[in-house]
Amino acid sequence: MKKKSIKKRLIPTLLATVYTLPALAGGDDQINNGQQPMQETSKTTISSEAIKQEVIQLLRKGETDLVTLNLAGQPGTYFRVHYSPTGEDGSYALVPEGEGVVGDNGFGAISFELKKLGKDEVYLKVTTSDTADFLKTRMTPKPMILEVEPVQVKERGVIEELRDSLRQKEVRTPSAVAGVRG
Amino acid sequence: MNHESNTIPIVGARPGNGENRAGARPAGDSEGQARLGSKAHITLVNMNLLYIRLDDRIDYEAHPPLGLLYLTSVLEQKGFSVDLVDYQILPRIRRDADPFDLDTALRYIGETAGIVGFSCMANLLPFTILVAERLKQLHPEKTILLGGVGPFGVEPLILERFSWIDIVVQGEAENTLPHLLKVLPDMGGLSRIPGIFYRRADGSVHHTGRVHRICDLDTLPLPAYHRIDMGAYDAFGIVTSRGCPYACRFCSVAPVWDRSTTYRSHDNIIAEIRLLHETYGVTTILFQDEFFYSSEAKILDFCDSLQASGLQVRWKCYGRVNLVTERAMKRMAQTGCTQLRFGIESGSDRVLKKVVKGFSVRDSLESVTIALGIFDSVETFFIWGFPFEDMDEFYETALQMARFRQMGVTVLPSLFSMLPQTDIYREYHKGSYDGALTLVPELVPIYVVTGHEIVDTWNAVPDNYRPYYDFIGAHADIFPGFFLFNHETNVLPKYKALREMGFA
Repeated sequence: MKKKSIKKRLIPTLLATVYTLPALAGGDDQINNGQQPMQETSKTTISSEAIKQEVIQLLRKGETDLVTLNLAGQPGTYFRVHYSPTGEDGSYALVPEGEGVVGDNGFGAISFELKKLGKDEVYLKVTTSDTADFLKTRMTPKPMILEVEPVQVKERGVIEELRDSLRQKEVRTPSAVAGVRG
Repeated sequence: MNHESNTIPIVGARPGNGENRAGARPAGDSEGQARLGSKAHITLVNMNLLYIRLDDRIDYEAHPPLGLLYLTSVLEQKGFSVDLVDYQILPRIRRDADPFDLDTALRYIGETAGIVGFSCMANLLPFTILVAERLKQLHPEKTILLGGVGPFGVEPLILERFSWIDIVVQGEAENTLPHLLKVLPDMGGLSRIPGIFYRRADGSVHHTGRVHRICDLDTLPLPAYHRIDMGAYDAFGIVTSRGCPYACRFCSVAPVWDRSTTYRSHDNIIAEIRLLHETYGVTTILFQDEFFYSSEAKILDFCDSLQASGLQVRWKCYGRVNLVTERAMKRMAQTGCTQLRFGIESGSDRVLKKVVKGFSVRDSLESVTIALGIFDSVETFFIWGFPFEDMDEFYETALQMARFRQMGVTVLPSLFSMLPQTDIYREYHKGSYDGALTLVPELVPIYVVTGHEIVDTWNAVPDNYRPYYDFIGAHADIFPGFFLFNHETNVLPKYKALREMGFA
């Protein structure tokens, strides 16, 4: 019985799937500064750049505060995750063990405990680079905001609740979170 | 989707809206599509309908019914007259008609020959059986045949339960029907006809054995395009091979074709392309078979043959990420290929191994990335909701879908369907999976449209469709594809996530 309960609590819940756009210049500079304006790019450029864009998925394990950040991109892409408890410029720091590299299967991941990063909210920014030295980077245009309080996980068997949420088309954390495009 | 009215809003029900703008008929054949009705030896009815959900609408796309067109050609060649009915065309003719109304179907089918053969896939199998029942009630003297992929694997059950179905034809009917028509209506000679299931006088079901495969597909005549109004169709497919050697455990294709593949020669394929292009004005062709791209050498040779033919057509086809090469894909694009389609199925290597897909997530990423740089369009098909797919694995798939979408790839997810021909269904039947199949009409409220995909959530089932669900629910072993595996834990949470990600 106890084992079953633990299993239930560890069902991952999708917090967000977001997309990063290639930084136009100096992504690292943006971490603690305001966002840069978009520049117009040709369709051809967008098409070729699309392959270099990464997709980020945030999952929370049940009612715990363990969050997994999955990043999909071209193999060999390096990434760093920064956080801030306030979202203010200058307040971002690297998430503990918040660096990774996309593997041959196109995926990379890091995990962290949300409560160690903030009390109410945690702001996240992800920076990626084709090289380990992060000289040229891309980053999420706006921070992803996570609530520290546990997400209410629907109990198994409560089909009506799921049904209602689907009916309402309610999306707690929309895929367009943080204004990223996809 | 609004189900308050009794009709399904089919937005694509427009005449001649296909990209090919085909429709030219052969000279002097202005009445080529006149029905033969009761004067024919057999009426063949195509019940395969292709509907596509686009957001909250349903789009409709008509394709020439190749299976029955091949069959018609063979029968005509052997001196039989065929009355051909393509139910697919109903929305073209009667825009407001509900294609899933039994009376509408009966009226459309109209006067038939004494032998009527229905062909369908699994999604239309329940509706087809109900249409056949109504036909038999009106005309008990008629002999009703059932064929196509839909009844494959459940033939004995169909004959045991539905007395109005007289014979189920299994496999390539080009080999079976000419012999069958010589024997019918005398049911006594059926035991001599291979490839059929029928009811003996004592009521027991008898299988006459599997019919031999047609090894050389070049021996078949080209499909009887002259028997249909080509202007009524949106897209034009060609089948260059039959069967697939891969043993994917979720797929019905390989078991239906006994895991062996037969082919047409490139000259034979190009003859059909020439017919479609020069006679009917078709400019874009879809190679519909799963194994059109079987090897680099073969595809390069096809491209050379197509180029040498001088035919200026665009084409689309399916590929396998573990077989395609950059060299071949570039050559394909040079000779008019504009779109390549891949069955990716899952973003989880564990799931890919479980379904014996034969490639890894890494393979799919590599091939799709290369293809994206070569073709105008790359389409990828994913399956979610496998009985053994946990939430972590599902999210891996969802992430890869999101990544592909971001790259500019078209992503087409489908809910896993327990088709009775598949290994996974057989494993489920043996109790290999901890869970149960449940019919949830509210999750497939217009099941007859797509059959295997969730098309909407939690809308009321229209009263006029309720009997269909009751019918399906009473025969779970015949129609398992309509049932959801562990819907509360396996389907709904995943579906909710897909909606949040914009995939549903």
